[in-house]
Amino acid sequence: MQISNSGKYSSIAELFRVLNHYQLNYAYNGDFTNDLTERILALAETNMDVESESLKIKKKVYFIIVESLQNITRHQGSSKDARLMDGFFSIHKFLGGYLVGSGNAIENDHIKSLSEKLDKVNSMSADELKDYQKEVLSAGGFSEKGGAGLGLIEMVRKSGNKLQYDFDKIDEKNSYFYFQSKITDAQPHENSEIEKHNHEIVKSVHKAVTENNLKIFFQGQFKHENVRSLLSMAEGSIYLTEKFEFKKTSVAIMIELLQNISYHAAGINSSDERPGLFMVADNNNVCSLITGNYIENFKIDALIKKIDFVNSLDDAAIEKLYLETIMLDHNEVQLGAGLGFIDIRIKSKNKIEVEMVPYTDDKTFIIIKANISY
Amino acid sequence: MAILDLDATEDLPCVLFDNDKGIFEISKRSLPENAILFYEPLIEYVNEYLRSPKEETNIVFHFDYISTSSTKQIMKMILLFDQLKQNKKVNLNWNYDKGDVDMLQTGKRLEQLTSMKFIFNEV
Repeated sequence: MQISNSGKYSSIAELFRVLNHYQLNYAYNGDFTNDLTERILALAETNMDVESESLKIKKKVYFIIVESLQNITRHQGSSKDARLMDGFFSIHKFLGGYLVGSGNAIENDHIKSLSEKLDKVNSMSADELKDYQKEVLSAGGFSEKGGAGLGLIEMVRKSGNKLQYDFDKIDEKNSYFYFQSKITDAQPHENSEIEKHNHEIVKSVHKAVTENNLKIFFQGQFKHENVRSLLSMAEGSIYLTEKFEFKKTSVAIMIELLQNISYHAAGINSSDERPGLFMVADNNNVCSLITGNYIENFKIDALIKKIDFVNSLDDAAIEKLYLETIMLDHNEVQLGAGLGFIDIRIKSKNKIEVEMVPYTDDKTFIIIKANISY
Repeated sequence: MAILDLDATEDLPCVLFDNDKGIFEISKRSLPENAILFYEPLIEYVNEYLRSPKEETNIVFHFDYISTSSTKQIMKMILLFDQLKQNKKVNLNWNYDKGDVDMLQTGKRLEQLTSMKFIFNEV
């Protein structure tokens, strides 16, 4: 597969294909607060539960995530161009393990000492690391300026892999620090994409995410627990909390979009799966809430007809349709019963966009996009 | 019938139904996995109440967020109280957070489908 590392993708499907190539499970780009950090962790945890991950790997991944998030919040820089200072966080799930990536701005003056610390822990054998950790602990190295890298030592020990990093110059004062840590189980899987693109992953994904103005990316099972955590995480992002009315509308639409997947999405291997995609993007004061899920081909016509119809109505007609639909007494197997898209159309005040990607003979990946101007 | 008292969770509302006092309150978030299942006992409670209602019934809805599947169930419940209005006093308060235009509009829409006049309170 040819992957281009630059440029804005012309469609959501294309962007999704690229991010999928890096087996991206979850990404956030923006300001990090303590509250948001907790929500990010909660989602990662719920998601691993939903994926029935083993306790051993769960604990390791959790630890690495905590350390990575701490690095971001601790070093968040400030500059005239706030966007360049945004923190970045990503989780990639691949055959045989996870990769946790992070990115944050750092002052150029600190590059040398940070690189030295990283190179030092990377150069050590397991036994050397153990001794070094003891030494640092007994020396009370915590209070040394910049820390002695205890977190880094633990990361190497827990993950069982060397830490990968890179710096990109932002300006005379700051650089962007890319950092990734791989957590693997005993068996190496050489054919994994993660192994092939070893050093580039967090950087490439960060590039795709920022160039396409993505704030949040999540791909996984849209079971109720995950939907709940995802919603909480999205709500906690600063980006949404700035304007009350905009936040209310976006969260309400998000609720409908996410419930839509958990009610109606088709599984790939079994019928109780709910694989899906959720993204938040922001382009010139338009916030796009995007979901993707598989759907059986025989259901497409009816769905497209419904969305086209909802899109075609003026304000008065859509209000009328809302009232008619809420009074319909469906046999209630269909939980949403069609009110969701009407509600999204009314609240977003924009047309609902749809993209389709053929998947198999009987299933299609359908992408739904709601745009909110603010 | 005993008081129906449910604490709010991350995605379920706070519920206080007291048929002795004729008080019915639902607040916070209503985003259940299955709205029909969640509201079934609540609607059953209201049905039971309607057999021997009080002279005055006070209903308070105050949602932060409500899924459309929940809105449908709330509408069902409101229509039950609407029947009661023919010979008893029924006050339906639709409270919403200051500036929550979406929630106000949802209330206005539901009101149109009843013979009641909702009391809208921005709180």
